[in-house]
Amino acid sequence: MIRLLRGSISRIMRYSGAGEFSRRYAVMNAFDGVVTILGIVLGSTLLGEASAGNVVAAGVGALIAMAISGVSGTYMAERAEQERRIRELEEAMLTRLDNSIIAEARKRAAVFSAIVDALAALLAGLVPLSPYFAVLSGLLNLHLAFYISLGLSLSFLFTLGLFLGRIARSNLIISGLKSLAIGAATILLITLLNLFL
Amino acid sequence: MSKRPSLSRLVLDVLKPHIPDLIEFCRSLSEVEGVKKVSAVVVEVDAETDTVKITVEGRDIDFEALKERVRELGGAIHSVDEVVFE
Repeated sequence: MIRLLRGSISRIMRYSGAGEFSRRYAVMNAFDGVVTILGIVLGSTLLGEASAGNVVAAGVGALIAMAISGVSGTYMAERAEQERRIRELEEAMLTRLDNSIIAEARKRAAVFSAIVDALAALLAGLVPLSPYFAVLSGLLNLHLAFYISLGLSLSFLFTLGLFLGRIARSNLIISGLKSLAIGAATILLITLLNLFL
Repeated sequence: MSKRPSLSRLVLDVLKPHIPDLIEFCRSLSEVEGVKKVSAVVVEVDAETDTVKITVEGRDIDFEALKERVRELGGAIHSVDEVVFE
């Protein structure tokens, strides 16, 4: 069953080029998920006195919204792109490709990309949110959770940077630091905002 | 009692997209009923498509199934260039 699933996924990838797109969506949305939660955690802690429950509620709310927007947006965009490719291929072939495995794989690829997109945002966002779940279940105090959450966000961003560096076959550390800089910029901006408000 | 001759060799002129590649294309054709051997030669490579000459050998080859399989793979049989009943 698992082998069958893996076989069909790898076939979808090969026939549609979705592997590359899915990877792009996954990284992009993992970034989105982490930075959004970073923003919520920072904003609610620095700008106001939020309880762990508040942070979790806001975070989970944002992640659900992101997952839904990810699924629907990616599905529609990707479906359109894939259909355009099928039409282009049909023009080159001078035939219809309606029931071919290519058309089938490309249609499934849109669904696959959409799922990857949503899951990436959701799972990546849950990482920096997890310390606040721990607070809710009484394992951590709020103060500590804030720092652990920041640490998790930044290390997750760094890891994403490493991953991107590996894809680009460029210097891993520089790529990791670049992506870390995005997190740092977020922290800086929100902290500055805190000074003025 | 002698068996009647059956379709044993076909040479097809096929237009196919780059993907699935020729290996996968021929592997899939080799799974069709009656096919024992598939060989293919690329005749021309275009921006989106390949023109290939595919030779199919076997016993009692199911041509309809073969045609259907080519279509499923996104290809089109442009002509049947050689037929052998044996």
